[in-house]
Amino acid sequence: MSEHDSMTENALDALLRQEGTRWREARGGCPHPDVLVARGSELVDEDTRRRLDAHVAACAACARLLAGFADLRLAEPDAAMEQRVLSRVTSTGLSGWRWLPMAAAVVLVAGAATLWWRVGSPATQRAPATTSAAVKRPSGGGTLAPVALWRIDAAPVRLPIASLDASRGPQGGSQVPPGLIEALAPYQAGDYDAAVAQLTPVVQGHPDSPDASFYLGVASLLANRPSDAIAPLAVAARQAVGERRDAVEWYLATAEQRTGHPDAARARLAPLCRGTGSFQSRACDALRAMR
Amino acid sequence: MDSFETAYRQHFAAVFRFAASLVGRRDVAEDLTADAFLELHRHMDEIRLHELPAWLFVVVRNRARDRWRRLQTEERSARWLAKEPVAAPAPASPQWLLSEGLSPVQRVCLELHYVWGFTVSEAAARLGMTEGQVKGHLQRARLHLRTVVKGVPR
Repeated sequence: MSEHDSMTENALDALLRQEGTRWREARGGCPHPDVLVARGSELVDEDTRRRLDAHVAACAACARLLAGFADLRLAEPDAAMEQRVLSRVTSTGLSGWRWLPMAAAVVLVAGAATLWWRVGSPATQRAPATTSAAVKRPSGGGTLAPVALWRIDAAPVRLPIASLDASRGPQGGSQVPPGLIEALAPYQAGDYDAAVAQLTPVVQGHPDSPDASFYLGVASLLANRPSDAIAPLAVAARQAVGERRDAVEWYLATAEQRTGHPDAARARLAPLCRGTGSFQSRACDALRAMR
Repeated sequence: MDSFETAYRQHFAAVFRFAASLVGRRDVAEDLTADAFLELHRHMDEIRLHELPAWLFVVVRNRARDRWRRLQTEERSARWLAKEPVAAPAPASPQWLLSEGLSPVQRVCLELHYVWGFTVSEAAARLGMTEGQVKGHLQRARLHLRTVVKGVPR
């Protein structure tokens, strides 16, 4: 009986596909839906718009499809999309790590907190591919010594999902040390001096925690204390894998470069630049900036 | 909240609607919106905030224009766009697509999938749905059509 049902389902699927395809082939005068939906666009030239309007007026099928699209309100943004796009824009893409599904107030993208150490040549800033004319260049840049050029973005807070599983007990892989989530609140808020103050005791209590060390290192960098960043980042580097490893290397190179060790920084950036990770283009830009 | 996120929250909806008005597609509009805010993120230090959202609109319009030029040369659109302006009436639709019991969204899913040959994921992207949602609409549509369509063998 169930076999009979599934045969019917497959046969129906095949029949709809066959009749649908045959109908489309007979509709030679109909524009592809991806063209049809551009009907109202200001980018469509006058002649094409007239043809599209004339077609929709004469073709019930295309008019029905457009009406169906309109019903779905496809031009209306929603809150999920707003959050998704924000994450896309601000995330540094530590993709091996998943969001901690708790305390949304704590676990948010750490925004676009960015700092310029010293503004240098604008050549280190990437211009948009098609909008360079619209971008304001900073005036007077390049008058300072051309060192320490690149920008530091705060790493988004991501903690290992396994740490939430209390049933695994203390031996269940990497654990989020108590107090870390609370100590990350000022980091999230962009107050890096307070973040360093709150993360330091967590790291002292749990010197082997890669997460605590990582965020203390990044917070120290963002608080303009690169020499304090190196030791915790080195701890994080010992246990980091995948994307997190690239991130640690990137921040370590930044700290080294800012503490007057450009050769050490170059040695870390070169493999990142050659690789395919999410820090690849930044590492190459930084290497160019250091030349 | 830093100044980037403040600007993002303030202008996101307007930028998305503008992008959607240019390209007519939800997935592409979302990409263009992300592109524009990514540029803003990179150039936050150089842009005066009173230039927003006009600066974002410029980025979106330029990218959308590039995309429209590319689409004009693609096979799925070039043939129609190059044709003489004759609006040939389409032959009558298959009866099942007009079936009374279908919801409008089911009908759109059927047309994109079975008539225009979009995969479930291509249809989902254009409709701002998950693949699971599109599959569900198609499933329920077929369930209904099973009682309507004649001549399903076996």
